[in-house]
Amino acid sequence: MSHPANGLDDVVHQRVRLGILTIAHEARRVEFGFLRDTLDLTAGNLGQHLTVLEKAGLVDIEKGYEGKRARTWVSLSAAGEKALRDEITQLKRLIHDMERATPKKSARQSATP
Amino acid sequence: MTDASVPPGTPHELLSATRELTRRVRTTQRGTGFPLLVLGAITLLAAPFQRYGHVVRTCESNHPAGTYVCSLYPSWLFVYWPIALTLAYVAIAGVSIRRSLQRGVGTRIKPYVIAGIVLALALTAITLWIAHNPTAHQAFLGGRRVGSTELSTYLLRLVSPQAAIGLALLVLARIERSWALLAFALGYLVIIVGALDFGWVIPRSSHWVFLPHVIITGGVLILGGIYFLLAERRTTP
Repeated sequence: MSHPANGLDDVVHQRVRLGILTIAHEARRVEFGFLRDTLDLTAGNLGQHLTVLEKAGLVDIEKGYEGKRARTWVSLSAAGEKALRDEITQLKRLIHDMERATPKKSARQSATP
Repeated sequence: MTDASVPPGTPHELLSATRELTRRVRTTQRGTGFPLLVLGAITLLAAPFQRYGHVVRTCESNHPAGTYVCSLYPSWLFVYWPIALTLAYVAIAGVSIRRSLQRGVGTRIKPYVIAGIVLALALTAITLWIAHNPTAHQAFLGGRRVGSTELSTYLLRLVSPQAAIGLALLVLARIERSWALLAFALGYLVIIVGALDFGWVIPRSSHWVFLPHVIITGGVLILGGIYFLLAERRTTP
């Protein structure tokens, strides 16, 4: 079995992009302003991350107007759902492996004279 | 490993960050107060329909006993409840979509609205059928269908438009992952199924004999609505 770290996707395994995917998954559809405020980012920074995710086919971006106000809505694509699920699974596996390794390591250290 | 010992960027930190974001989105999405207020209002508004509505009497021959069994029911209620509940759920959906646009997060209200309308129509239809078939009702109430008189009484109370409100609230509690709403919905259903009147009884000879139950169930919904509205104001960023 390969090491769980090998299964991590570089596009998703990044704090902000993982946050965007998590919020979009839970909200189903999320507005740019909510993402910016919740993740505490500048509009430019968030825009860059969204471009990366959109190019990877993980999110769908829909631009429109609500009255006179321009609004951008982000939703997760099917590939994005799968990528998020895989990332969470790999993170859990990593934690599990780390926790299994930690007691063995400390046991070895305590056995050393 | 404790949370404090996790350096930034570790799997622990990433996972706990995703959990925190999930919690924040769910908190923003919650909107239980308005549905409870609307449902409480239509429950109270049902009282005049029950009091002044046209009363229909249906009688059936009870062959083995050689007697007639009759049922009396206010027919307007069978018109009022499906219409009132459908309009209420449409209003709930509309407000939820508007709030979703204002807050910038999607809504998960659709399954609740569908469940609410389906339950309202189904349970009203069953109530109507029971009212039109007094012998079947009597056989059921006598415990011959489910083997226990008490159980059949409770089941019959579950077949009502008010119970449909409570059952749909269980769906909303699941959608919103809200333990508080689950506890509220279960408490409300206990009041419906147990026909709890908290000692407030109007003599059976009065035309208003039903009023304590209507005011208690409607009042519970409205008080619950106020509580959840205040809680949502406290927690919504």
